[in-house]
Amino acid sequence: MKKIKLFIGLIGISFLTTGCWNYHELNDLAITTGIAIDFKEDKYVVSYMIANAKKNQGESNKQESSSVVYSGEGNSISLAYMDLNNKIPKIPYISHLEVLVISEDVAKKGVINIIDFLMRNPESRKEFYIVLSKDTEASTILQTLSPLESFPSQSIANNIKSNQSEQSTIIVSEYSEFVSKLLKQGIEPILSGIEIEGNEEEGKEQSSLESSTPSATTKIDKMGIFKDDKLVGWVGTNETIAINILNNKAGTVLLESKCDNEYMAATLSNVKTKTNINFNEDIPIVKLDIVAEGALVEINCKKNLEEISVIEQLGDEFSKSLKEMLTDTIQLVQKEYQSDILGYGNMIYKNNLKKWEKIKNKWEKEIFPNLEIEMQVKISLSSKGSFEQTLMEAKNEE
Amino acid sequence: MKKIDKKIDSIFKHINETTGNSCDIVSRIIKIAQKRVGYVYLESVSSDDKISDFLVRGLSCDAKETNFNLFNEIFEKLQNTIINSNLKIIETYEDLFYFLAAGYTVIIVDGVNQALVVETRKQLDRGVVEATTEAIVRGPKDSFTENHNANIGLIRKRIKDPKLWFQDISVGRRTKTKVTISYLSDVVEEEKINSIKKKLKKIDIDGILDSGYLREFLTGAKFGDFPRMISSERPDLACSSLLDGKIVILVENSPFVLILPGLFVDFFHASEDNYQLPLNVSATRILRFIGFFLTILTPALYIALTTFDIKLIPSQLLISLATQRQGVPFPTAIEVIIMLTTFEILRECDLRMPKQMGASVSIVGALVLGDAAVAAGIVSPIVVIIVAITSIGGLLFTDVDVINSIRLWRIIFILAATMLGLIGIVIAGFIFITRLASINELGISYLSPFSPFNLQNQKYGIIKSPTPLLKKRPTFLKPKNKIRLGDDSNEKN
Repeated sequence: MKKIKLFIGLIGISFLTTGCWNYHELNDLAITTGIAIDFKEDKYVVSYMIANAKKNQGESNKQESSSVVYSGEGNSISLAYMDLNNKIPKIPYISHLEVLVISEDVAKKGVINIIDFLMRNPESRKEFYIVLSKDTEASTILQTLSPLESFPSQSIANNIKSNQSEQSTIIVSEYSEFVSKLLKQGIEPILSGIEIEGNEEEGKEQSSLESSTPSATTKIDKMGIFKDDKLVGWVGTNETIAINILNNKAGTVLLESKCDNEYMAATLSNVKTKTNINFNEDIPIVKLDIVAEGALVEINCKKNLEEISVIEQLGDEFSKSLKEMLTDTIQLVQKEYQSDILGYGNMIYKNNLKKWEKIKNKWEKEIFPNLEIEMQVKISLSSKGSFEQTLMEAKNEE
Repeated sequence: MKKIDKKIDSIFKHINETTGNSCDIVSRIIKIAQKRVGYVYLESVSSDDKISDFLVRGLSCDAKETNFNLFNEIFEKLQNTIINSNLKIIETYEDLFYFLAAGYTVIIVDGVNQALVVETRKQLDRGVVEATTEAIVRGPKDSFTENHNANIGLIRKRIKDPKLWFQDISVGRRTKTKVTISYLSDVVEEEKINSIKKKLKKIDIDGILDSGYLREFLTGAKFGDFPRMISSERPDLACSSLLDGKIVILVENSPFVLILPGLFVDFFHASEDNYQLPLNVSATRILRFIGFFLTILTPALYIALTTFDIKLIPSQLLISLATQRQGVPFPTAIEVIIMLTTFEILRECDLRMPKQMGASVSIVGALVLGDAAVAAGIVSPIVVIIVAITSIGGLLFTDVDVINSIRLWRIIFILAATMLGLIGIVIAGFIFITRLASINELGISYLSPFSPFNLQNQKYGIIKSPTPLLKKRPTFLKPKNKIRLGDDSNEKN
């Protein structure tokens, strides 16, 4: 009996002294779903977008929430964070973080300084999206309201998610992936950039949502190329699609081509890229093999689609256009930016360590810009949509 | 053990003294063949027509002058004429009072210190009616009543096997209630019956009024445990349990019979299950299990997830929950306990109110209370839904003991969740399962057929196989005779 009492006493004490150490009521937390980092007048500015602010102060019954952005500044990220904490009445909670926005200035200075803070925090998820903000402040992006989503962070995150599988015009970069690319040898990271179209100041007001066109919208259009941890340049949509295809991360791609000086377009799916690097006496040669299935979506020239030879010809036209696009992009990356965002150095490192040791010092300046790339593109048109013949041919036959 | 006097007058005097001149004693002295014969009965329990019927016919002897053994003559005469009644000879006052109260008529002859008792019982109960506490959609609807013989009859007429044995024990000093143990003698082991009989004989109490009294004595159940025997009003459930190899205990004056041993899975079975297609039955049983886990775990999970393990909730839901909690003054656990208590009180009211008002009170009360509480800002809307889900899951069980045990364990889980979150729930769950698995009734483990696990016996757990496959009895009941169909004399183990 004594032993049982002792046992129960010990368990009781353990409940009283150690229980509830990470107990938080939900209304004590400020749930942060977006963080923005700026650099203004020699100081870092950190902004938190808090998602559970009450909508109308008057009626306590409303269950909808709106978002609010708080900012703090300081000489380093931690000091900025401390300043921010002085302003927020609740405990900031970043485990549900969806998006991190970094402004251009910070990216040009170097990203390593600000990444460490989020990596170290045991509460953060490390699976959120990183984007760059172009031509605006990062905190403005978190303040631009959207009529389709409840919070700005949600509109950015959903934009990225839906684009990932449908259009492949955005680079999807999650935090953990970004950091691992920074740390690996022979590969440089890339990030998508957001800009604001429309009136920035009006976009922050609730009233902008009441008209049929919102005053400001966020657009993900460009892609930023990094070298070491600094931003070196921006490229456009075509290059983004090309890089997605080369990295084997494309979903559906809309490809345009010409036939008889008229435009035709097809959506490519199941785009697969095989990369092989062969060595010719210490000089690497890259061989690319790209295969895709195409579905014709638009054709404006006069061709008889019922003959197989015509279909094959069209497929070859598309292949040529795609090859041109890819080659142009690789040339741009090699010559102008000299940044190995396609990860060929990393491939050599993984497959052939001895050769990599020999050439790694010369990789960036000498070898990569002059890398020889052989490409083979094969697109087979497998579907013509719901209409079996071109309109012109059909018109003639009637 | 006082023997009966020889004189009628002294017997009557003794009866009046002991019962304090009770108002329902009727005693008369008639003369048969010049000898005085007296009879006495209690009006409240004996039926007048039966008495006048046979007394007139039976006691009118020929006017033969026999000086001795009028008693035996009367005894023989009555034996030959009253074919449809019990007839006994008694010698002590104790037996006399027992049979008087049981509704028998006592016939006394001058000069002999024995008495005759003839059964003339009045029917003081409802007759065979429809079951009130256990509803069934399709199947026999009759139920046990307070008439002991009728109950035994309802079982006998379903199982016409001579091996179905009924054994009587009298329990209770003043009530002397008849407790009948029934079982299939070639299926149930003798030791189990003997151990039950031993426990019953050890009971020293002044009265047994209902089968519920026997619970404490027959099982070792403590506060808040899940019940270890099933109590049922339905004869078809009792008979199917008998055929499985279980023991049924009938108590006089109680419409609820006890079925031993009651296992955990028995609360998820209904007797309807045997009358429906097996696949449907399996799906319904799975549904009942889900209901059970919902009703025990939902409040605790809600508390644990929203206060300790916030990371596990998806972002959209979390933001909506956080906004709902704005302005609520109480911590989450207190909110949940307030709403749960209110719902439990409503449910209790439902049981006590007469039928006409019952249903509307609980439903209207629950909805209105929930809504009003949210509007007043005392609780958040999500808590109303959580408590509603909990109550709905709890409505699946009708046995009062099961409801009480579920209530207790729900509170334990809530306390564990408030203190340690999900880890607390895991610890409490561990204690729960250990508690259930350690219960051992009559040598049979409470959680059979889940532990000890036997693939063959899973047919009696959740999934029900088609009936042609159910040739053997569940082995966890340790029957002597494993095969249901066919010749049992070859299969004795």
